[in-house]
Amino acid sequence: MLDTIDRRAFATCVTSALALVGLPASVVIAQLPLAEAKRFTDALQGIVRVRFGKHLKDTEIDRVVIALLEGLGQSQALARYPLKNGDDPGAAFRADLP
Amino acid sequence: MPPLTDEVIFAPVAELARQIKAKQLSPVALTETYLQRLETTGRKLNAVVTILREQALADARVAEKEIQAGRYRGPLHGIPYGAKDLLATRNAPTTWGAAPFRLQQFDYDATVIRKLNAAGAILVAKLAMIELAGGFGYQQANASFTGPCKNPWNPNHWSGGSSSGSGAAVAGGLVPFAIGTETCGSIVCPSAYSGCTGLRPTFGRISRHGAMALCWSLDKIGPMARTADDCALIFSVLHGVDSQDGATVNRPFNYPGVTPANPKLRIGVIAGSYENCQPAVKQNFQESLKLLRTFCTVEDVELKLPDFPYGPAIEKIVASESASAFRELIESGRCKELTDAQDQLGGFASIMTSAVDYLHAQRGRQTLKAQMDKLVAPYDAVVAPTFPSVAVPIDKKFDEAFAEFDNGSLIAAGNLVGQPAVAVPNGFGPHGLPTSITFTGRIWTEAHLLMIAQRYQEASGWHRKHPVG
Repeated sequence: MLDTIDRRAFATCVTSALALVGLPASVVIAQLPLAEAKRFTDALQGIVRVRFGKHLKDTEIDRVVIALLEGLGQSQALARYPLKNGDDPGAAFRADLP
Repeated sequence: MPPLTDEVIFAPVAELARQIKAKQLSPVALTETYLQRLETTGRKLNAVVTILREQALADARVAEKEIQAGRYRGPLHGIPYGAKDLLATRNAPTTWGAAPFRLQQFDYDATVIRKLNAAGAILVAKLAMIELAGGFGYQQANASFTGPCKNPWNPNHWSGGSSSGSGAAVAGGLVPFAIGTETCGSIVCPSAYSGCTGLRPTFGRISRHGAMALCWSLDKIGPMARTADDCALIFSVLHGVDSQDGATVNRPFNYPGVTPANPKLRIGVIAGSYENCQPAVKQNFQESLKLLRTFCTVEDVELKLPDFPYGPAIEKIVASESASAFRELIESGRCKELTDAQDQLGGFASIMTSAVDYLHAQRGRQTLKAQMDKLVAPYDAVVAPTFPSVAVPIDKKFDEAFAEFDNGSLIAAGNLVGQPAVAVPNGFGPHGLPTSITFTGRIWTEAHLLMIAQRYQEASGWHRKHPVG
C-alpha cells in the first residue's frame, strides 16, 4: 500500500504524529529503517483494513493509522503514571437492581 | 405594542422575572421578541437548529394567563430559553448537531426540559452544537451540519463549543438563558468565547436522562446565562437525584445571593495559568485579581496542579466511551457523513482504544480526586483565565489559531475529578472579543462559587456589556 504513495512522506507523517504527542522523534518507528517502519505501519493498515476497509479509501486508512499512532503515544504517556494494584477505577459493578 | 428595548432584551433572568411577576412585562411579548431575534440574528449566526414558534407562543400565552390569575410558579415562569440540541424534546427533532441524525425525533422530553417546563419556562429553540458534542476530535468551528456558529461580538470568529449555539444565543440577546453540556470544556469554552456566564456543575448534580450520551463518566449539564445569579436560579430548578440517571445525587444547594464584602474569602490562583496567555487575557486576568483583592484575600503563592497525564487520560476516556456510545455509527461507516474531516474518521481509531488504557485512565483519575481536593480545599475559590486567548477565527483549524498560547490543564483536571466551575466575562481582547475568568473549587460548592462570581460581577460590570444588534 505504501508503494502507491510517497513512503518517505508517510514516514515523515508518522514521525510528526509521534512528535505531536511529545515522544522524541528518535523513538521506535522513527529510528527504524524505512523497510521496518513500513512493515509496522502496514500491519496497522492491515488491521484497519480488516475492520473497516469497506468504509475507507486508502488515504483514509492512512489517516486512521496516524490517529492510532497518536493514540499509541497517548497510551505510553498514560502508562507512565504509576498505579498500585489496589487503585480501582471507581466504576465498580453493583449487584443491586436498578 | 412598542418593541422591547435592549435593556429588556439583554436583562438578566432575575430582572425579567421581577417584571413578569409584577405584571409589567408580558411573557408573550418577551417570547415573540426572542423568536424574532432567533429567526433573524440567530440564523445569521448559525446559532439555531429548530425554532419552536407555535409551541413557544402557546406556552407563553398559558404562562401569561396563569400569572395574571395569580398562579405564579416561580422566577422562571414565562421566561424563554434555548436548549442545546442534544436534549430530547418531544415537539422537535433532536439532531445532536450531526447530519446522520438531522431527522431524529424522540417521543419524550429530557429530565431538564421537563423540569424547566414545570417551572413555567418557555422553550423557544433547539440550539446549534458541534456534532456529537465534539467527541470524535473536531478541529474547526464548522464541525456541525448547521455550519460554524459565529460569535455575536465578531462574526469572523467562533462562538466556542461544543455548546456553540447556547453561548451565541445568550450573548447575542436571543434568549435570556440556555442549557449547555460539558464533557471537557463545552460549557466554559462558549461562555468564555461569547462572553456569557456558564456553570459547569459538579458531576452528578443534574440528571442527564434524555441528553445524548457522549461520555458517561464525564458528561455534565449546566446553565448559561448573563449572570452567576441567574445560573444559580436555573441550577436550583435543575439539580437533584433522578432515578433515570444513576449518577445523580441529592446534595443541598444553599445559594446566599450577593453578600457583603468578606475579606476572609480566600482565593487561590493556578500557577502557570496566565503567563503564557494572549496579552489581553493576561492583563484582564491580572485586573480581575486586583478587583478580587478589594473584597477577598488573593494568595500570593500560586497553586501547582498535580503532575498527571491530563491529556492522555481525557483522550482515552472520551475515545472509549464515545466509541461505545456511537458504535453503530462507526461500524456502519455512517460516521463519514459527519461534517468535520477529523470527525469522519476519528471514530475508527477511537473504537480501537484498548480496555487496559481506558481502565488505566479511570484508575488514575480516582487517585487524582484526592490530590485536586487537597489543592483547592484551603480556598473558597481557585481562579484562572478560562481560555488562553480570545475566540479563534472561524475559518482556521484550532491548531493554526493562537496555538502559541497555553493556560495549562485546569479544564481537563477539573472535569476529570468532577469539580464545578463558573466562567464569567472579565474584559475584552483583540478583535473586540471577550475574555473570561473561571472560578472553581471543591465538589458540591456551586453555591459558594456562584456567590463569589456574582460578587465579582457586581464589582466589575462586564456582564452588562452586550453586542449591538
